[in-house]
Amino acid sequence: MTQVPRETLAESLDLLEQGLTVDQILSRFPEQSEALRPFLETAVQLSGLAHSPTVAATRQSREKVLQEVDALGGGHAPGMALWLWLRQAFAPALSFAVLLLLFVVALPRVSASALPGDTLYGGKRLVERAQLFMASSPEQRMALQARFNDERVREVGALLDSGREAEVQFEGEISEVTPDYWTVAGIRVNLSQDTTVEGEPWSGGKALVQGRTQGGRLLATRLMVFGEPPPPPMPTPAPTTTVTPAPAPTETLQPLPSWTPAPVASPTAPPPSPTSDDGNENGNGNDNGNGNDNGNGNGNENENGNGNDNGNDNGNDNGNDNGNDNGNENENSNEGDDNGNQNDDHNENEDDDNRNENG
Amino acid sequence: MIDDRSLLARAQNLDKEAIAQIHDAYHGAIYRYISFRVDDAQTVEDLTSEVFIRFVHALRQRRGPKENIGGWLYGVAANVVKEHYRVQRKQRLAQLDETIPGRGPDPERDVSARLAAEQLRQALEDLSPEQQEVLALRFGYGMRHKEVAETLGKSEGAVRMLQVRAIAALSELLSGIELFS
Repeated sequence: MTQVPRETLAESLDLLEQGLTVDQILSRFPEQSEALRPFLETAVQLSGLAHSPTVAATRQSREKVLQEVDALGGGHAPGMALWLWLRQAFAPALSFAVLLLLFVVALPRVSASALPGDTLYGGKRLVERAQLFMASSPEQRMALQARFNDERVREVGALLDSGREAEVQFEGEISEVTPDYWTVAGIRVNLSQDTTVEGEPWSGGKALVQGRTQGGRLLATRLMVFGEPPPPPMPTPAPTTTVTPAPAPTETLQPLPSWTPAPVASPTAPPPSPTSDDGNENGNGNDNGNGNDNGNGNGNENENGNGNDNGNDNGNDNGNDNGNDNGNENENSNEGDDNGNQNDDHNENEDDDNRNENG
Repeated sequence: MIDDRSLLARAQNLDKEAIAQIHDAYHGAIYRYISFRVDDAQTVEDLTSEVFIRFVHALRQRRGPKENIGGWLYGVAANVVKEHYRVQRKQRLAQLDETIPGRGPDPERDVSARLAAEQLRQALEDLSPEQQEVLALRFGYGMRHKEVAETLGKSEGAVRMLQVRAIAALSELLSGIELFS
C-alpha cells in the first residue's frame, strides 16, 4: 500500500492549479510520483469534465430568458414598475375584497332560487346563516327566521311540484291531522311506520317537519309538535243542572259581594251597556245575575290591568259560581262583558272628569 | 466584477437590460457547473436556461436574491441538476433501450473521450454529496476555495481537505491505487 501525505496531495493540486504540468509536479515529489500520478491525472480529467457554452448557446439562452420577462409583463417604464409593485403588495387584500363582493352580492342572487340538492343550495343556506349572524336585534333575527322558514315551505312546494327527491325540514301550523297524514303549513305530510312523532298534534298547533320528498310526495321521518294541546272542552251543562241543588253555586256566590265594593264601579256605574246585556243574554241564564256583577268587576279591573286576564279570572270565579259548567260560554260571556265594561268605564271616567271639573 | 446590488434593484423591476447583464455575467459559470454534472450538451443548455428562467420568476414574485446573485443561482442550479437526475432515473427504469454514443466527426476519439467522461461521472456518483458539490463548484463553476467555503458555509481548510479526499477517492476508484488509508 502506497501512502501519500494529505499535505502533499493538497500542495500538488495547488501547483496544478497554478499551471504546472503533471510531470513538473511529479518531479518535485519523486518518492510519491507513482501514487501521485493517478491522483493528478484524475484532477486533470476533472478539470476537463466541464465545458464552456458556445456564444450561440449563451445568446439563445438570453433570448429565451428575455422572452420570459416579456411574458411576465417586464421591460416596462418605471411608473409601471411602481404599479406592479403596488399590485403585488395589495394582491391579497384585493383578492379578499373580490371574494367578499362575490359572497355579499353575487352568491345571494345566484343561489336565491336554489332548492335542496342543488349545487348552490349550500351557498344559499350559508348566506342565510350569515344574515342571521349579522342581525342587529332579536326581533330582526326572529323576523329573518320566519322568512327563512317560509322559504323552506316554498322549497318543499317546488320540490313536490317537480317530483324531485331531497331531504327537507320546515315548521308550520297544523291544519289537519289524520292517522295517515297531517297538513302542516298547507303541505300534506305523509306518515309511515318509521315516522317518529313527538308530542300530541292538534289543529292550530305548530309542528316541525323533517322528511324526504319523493315522487311528488312528502314522507315525514320526524314530526315534532310544539307545546301542549289546549284542554278538551268540558261537557255542556244540561239544563237540569240548574234544578239540581248543587252546592257549588251557592258557595261560590258568597264571594261575590267582595266584587261589589270595587272603588270605581259601584258609585258611578251606570246601567249595564247594551253590549254587556247582550253578552250576558247570549250566555246561559245563570250567568245573567253574575253577569252584571262581573260586568262591574271586570270594568274596574280592566281599567288598571289587561282585559283578557281579568276576564278569565272573573270567568273562573263565575265558573265556580255556576258549578264548573260554564267553560267556553263563560269565557265568551266575560269577553262580552269586557268590551261592554271597558266602554262603560271610559264613559264613567269621562263623566267623573267632567264632574270634577264642574265641581 | 459586476455590481450585484444596483443590477438587482433594476432586475427586480423586470428591467430587461439588467436581467440580460446578469444572465451574461453568470451564464458561463452556471453552464460549466451543470456540464460538470450532466453529459449531454443540449440538456446542459436547457437546464442552464431553466436556472435563469427561475431567477426571473423569483424576481417577479419578490423572492429572488437579496445580494449574492452567484450563490443564489448556484443553489437553483444544484436543484435543477438534482431534479434532472431524478427524472432521468425514472426514465431509465421506464425505457431499457441503450443510447448509441458517438456521432461526431471523429467517432473513435469521441467514443473514448465520452467513455472516459462517463466513467468519471459514474465514479463521481460514488462520492458523498458534499464531496461532489465541492468538486462541481471548484472544477465546474470555477470557484476559488474561499468562495466554495462561503457558499457551503465551511472553512477554507475543510474545503481543501474535502477536495483532496474526493479526488483521492476517485483516483482509487479509477486506478485501483490506494493513496492513503
